[in-house]
Amino acid sequence: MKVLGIESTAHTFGVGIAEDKPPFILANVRDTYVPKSGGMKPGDLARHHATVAPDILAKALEEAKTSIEDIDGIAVALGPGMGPALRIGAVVARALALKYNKKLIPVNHGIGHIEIGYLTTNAKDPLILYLSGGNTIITTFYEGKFRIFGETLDIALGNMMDVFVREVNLAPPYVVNGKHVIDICAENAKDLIDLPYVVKGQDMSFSGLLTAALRATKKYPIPDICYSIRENAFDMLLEATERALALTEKKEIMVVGGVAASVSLRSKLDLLAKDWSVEIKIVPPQFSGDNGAMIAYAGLLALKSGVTIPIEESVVKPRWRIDEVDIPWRN
Amino acid sequence: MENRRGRYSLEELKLLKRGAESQIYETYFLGIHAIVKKRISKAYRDPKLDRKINLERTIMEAKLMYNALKSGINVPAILYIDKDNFSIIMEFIEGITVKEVLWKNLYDPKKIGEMIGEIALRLHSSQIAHGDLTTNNLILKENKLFLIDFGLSKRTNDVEDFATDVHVFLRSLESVHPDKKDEVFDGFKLTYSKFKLYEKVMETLKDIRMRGRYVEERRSKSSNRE
Repeated sequence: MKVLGIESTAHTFGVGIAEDKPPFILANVRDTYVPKSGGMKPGDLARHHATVAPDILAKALEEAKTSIEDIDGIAVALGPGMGPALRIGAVVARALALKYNKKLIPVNHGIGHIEIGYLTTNAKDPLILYLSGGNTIITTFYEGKFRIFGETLDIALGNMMDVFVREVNLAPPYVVNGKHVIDICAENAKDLIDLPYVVKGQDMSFSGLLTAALRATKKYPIPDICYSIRENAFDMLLEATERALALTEKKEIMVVGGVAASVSLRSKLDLLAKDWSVEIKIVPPQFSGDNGAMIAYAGLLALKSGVTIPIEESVVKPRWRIDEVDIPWRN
Repeated sequence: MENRRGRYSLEELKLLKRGAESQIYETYFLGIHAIVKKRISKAYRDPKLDRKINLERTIMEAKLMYNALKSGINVPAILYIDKDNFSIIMEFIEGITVKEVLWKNLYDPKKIGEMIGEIALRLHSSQIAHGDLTTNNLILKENKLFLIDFGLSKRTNDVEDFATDVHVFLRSLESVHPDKKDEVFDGFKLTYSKFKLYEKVMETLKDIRMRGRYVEERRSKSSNRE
């Protein structure tokens, strides 16, 4: 069984193809929109996705050495994400499903990140850190659903760091030679400065940290602020993680999503793991950022459990939470 | 008897529990059955941030436990504070956590909820937010409920902080006891509703759950069908 998956929730348009036997992932092609300056405008994003879609689709089929006729289902990330971007993926998926008479499979973007994590890290029963530009979530699977133990109460950690480096004119680009520019900037830090540190139970709040860090630029050297904002933010996340570990007694931590690639987070997690005798399993870089393969693979699992959606009901859901999704394939 | 540590005498430290930010040891302090809560330095933290967090929390925790006790909440009695070692020595409470009580069906869930609501009522009426009100931080001993771990507590008059307590509590029910959530929370509301800011807290609770992507309600309000 083969499923083609389409990702278009944010800055990346990606197409992946997954099969239900090794090597599982047959293709993973994408194109990421990078604005020349400032943040992403939803309209520009949608235009980018619509422009690259035919080419990405053709390349994915070529990479998988398969034709669209041999595909059993079309999976698409219907949310969460930015409405105009989501709609491009949905339109392409609906068109393919209609024209070639394929099953349409709704996939939650976050579940895609998590499932590709299970596949590529071989985690069995992990506490999961789902960290992407727009999400900071601590979750674990329990009785049919991913239950959220902790999350950000306002903005996501990844987004917060992106906004900071952009506001102080260090970005875009946000990642240079595989390193986030906040890490590069922090390498020249001399001292830790006092910034807000807000953990509430297992939840975190990053907006006060961002505001204080931006205000601090008038008084302190930028590298010191880069270092301090990163330390506070990661330490808040790690403390919340420790609380979730204490509560769940899990022996594995799986990290998925774009922020999983962060080298400084990795080294902190290694220290935490040693301390708690848990294993850290991090999704490999080619599957950490948004990609089509994760949608295809989660779609494959869903299709095997009979999860499909009629085309007329396939509306996009910009705020679709992972804990609203039934996961019949994990019981 | 053989172990004499620092300025106070502890008899045989035995590691009891590993918390998220501290080690809990069982011991006898001047003949009293006690625990030592010692905050751990984290290898992953910058040493300056580490010291600041541990020192502030040790002092705050001791202060607020004392205040909670004064307002009639069962908390372990504090026996000694050693802020240089980020340690608090307190009375040992022999009981089991509400988490286990609910898991093992040892007590009526609604009644437990009422008792927790009573604690939240007293706590918030004395302007304390606990900060980590989960079923793991409540201990049942001889039909009495003890509140522990004031590590994230603060003195406050802000409805937002009270609502966060309720939110964290509700979240611990949803994630760890989904099957008993409603019964426990119904009991909770029964007693907690005597709090003078109850209506405002519940309103803010709704806000918090909408604001931070707790969006069941928000979704239906905004542009879901696009």
